[in-house]
Amino acid sequence: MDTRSNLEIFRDGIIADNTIFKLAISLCPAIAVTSALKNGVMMGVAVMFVQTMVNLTISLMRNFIHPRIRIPIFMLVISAWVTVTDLAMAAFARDVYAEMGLYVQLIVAFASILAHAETFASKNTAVPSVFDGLGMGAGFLFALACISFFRELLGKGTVWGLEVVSFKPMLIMILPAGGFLAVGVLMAFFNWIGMRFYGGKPAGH
Amino acid sequence: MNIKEILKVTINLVVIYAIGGALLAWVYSETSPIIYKNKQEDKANALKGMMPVHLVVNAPEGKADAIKSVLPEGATVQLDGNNLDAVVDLYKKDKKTLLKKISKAGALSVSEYSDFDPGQPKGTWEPSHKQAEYFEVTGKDGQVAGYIVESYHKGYSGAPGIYVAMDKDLVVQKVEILSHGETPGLGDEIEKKWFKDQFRGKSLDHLVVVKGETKDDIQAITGATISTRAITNGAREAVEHMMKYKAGELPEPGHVEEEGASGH
Repeated sequence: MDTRSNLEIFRDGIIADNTIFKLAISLCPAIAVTSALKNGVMMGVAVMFVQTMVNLTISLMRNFIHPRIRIPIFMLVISAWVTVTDLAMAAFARDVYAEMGLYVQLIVAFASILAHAETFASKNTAVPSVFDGLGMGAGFLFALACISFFRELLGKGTVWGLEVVSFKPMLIMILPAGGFLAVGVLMAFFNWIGMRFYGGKPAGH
Repeated sequence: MNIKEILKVTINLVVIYAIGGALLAWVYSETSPIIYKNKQEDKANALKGMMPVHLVVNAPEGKADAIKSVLPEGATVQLDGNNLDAVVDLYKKDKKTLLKKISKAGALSVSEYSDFDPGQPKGTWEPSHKQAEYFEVTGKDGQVAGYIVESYHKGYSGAPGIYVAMDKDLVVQKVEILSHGETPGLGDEIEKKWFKDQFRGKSLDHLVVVKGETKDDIQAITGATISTRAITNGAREAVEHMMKYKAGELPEPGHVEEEGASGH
């Protein structure tokens, strides 16, 4: 059982255990969809929702899962939530689906969701698991928003599709190589803040 | 691991997967008819948007100029008392925003109609192994005014679906994206108006992708040449298909079925 309060669990998900900047997992989607702010935010919202629902489901099921087969069960729960969300949105929320559909389908094999089903939800009760899911999701959303904001601004000169600066944009920033650059620089920046002001440790330690 | 343990694990896995599978099957059976209906509706709406639309706007006195100013470029407007008749080109994504802008500008009501009618599909063809329909559009006078063809061509991820509208001489008038799975931020630029507008007035010879600035041909989207090619080739194949149709080279639909039945 986790001894932290729900609020602390939520906060740690955003800062201390940030999926991208601290744990450095789920980097593939973080690079693939962050070429524009809108895409990054949409993906973040989709992940936040699925991560919370998966955490809730796993924590409720945890006494019925044999430890030897926990991973395939986690995969089932994640893909089931993705499929159900995808189908339900396409049927009942067409406007939302037109915007979010592309992103939800990308979630299925998502390291950060799998990781927290394993390390948190399978060992804790429902309420803290929901807070963990919300926190990790919010942290992922924050990271994606930061990365995509800078990539779009530098690579296209726009923010959320609106032109803000007129210079010849650095096309490389919206190509995959620019994704690696942005993630690296931002990760270094957030680690520097952590060490300089809060005495934290760099990622991976 | 003894037999008992193995059995326990197996039963645990089977039971949970069976429940999960049943749940998914139930959700699928509930949603798939609605999703199918939604897709048909989307296609029908897109088909309507392939031809110029008359927007009949009821404008209160003094608001006509404000409403005119929110209409897209190239719209022809006729003012008759309080009724504003505007012929516009609507793209799927812009339609909602335009209607909102018009009512914000002070319009009391908006209705729409078209001078053209695509009628029922003339037949089907198979671009990129997908079933696609084509239509013969008739004008007010009942004469053939042009054609609308559904087309697919392999892109970066899957085959984007498009509608291509052409006039009776097979010059492309409009291209609209029906569905696609291209990368957000790069390939999904194909949905942008500047890209789709390039196709207007292009004949078969000019449906070619060019890197760098061009006015005569289709300009590739930077970083998404494959997605650009998918749409351009889809449009070109649609034009080629209609050339065959006009030349009477297509077998009658009934004839194809007979051949299939006897051949296999």
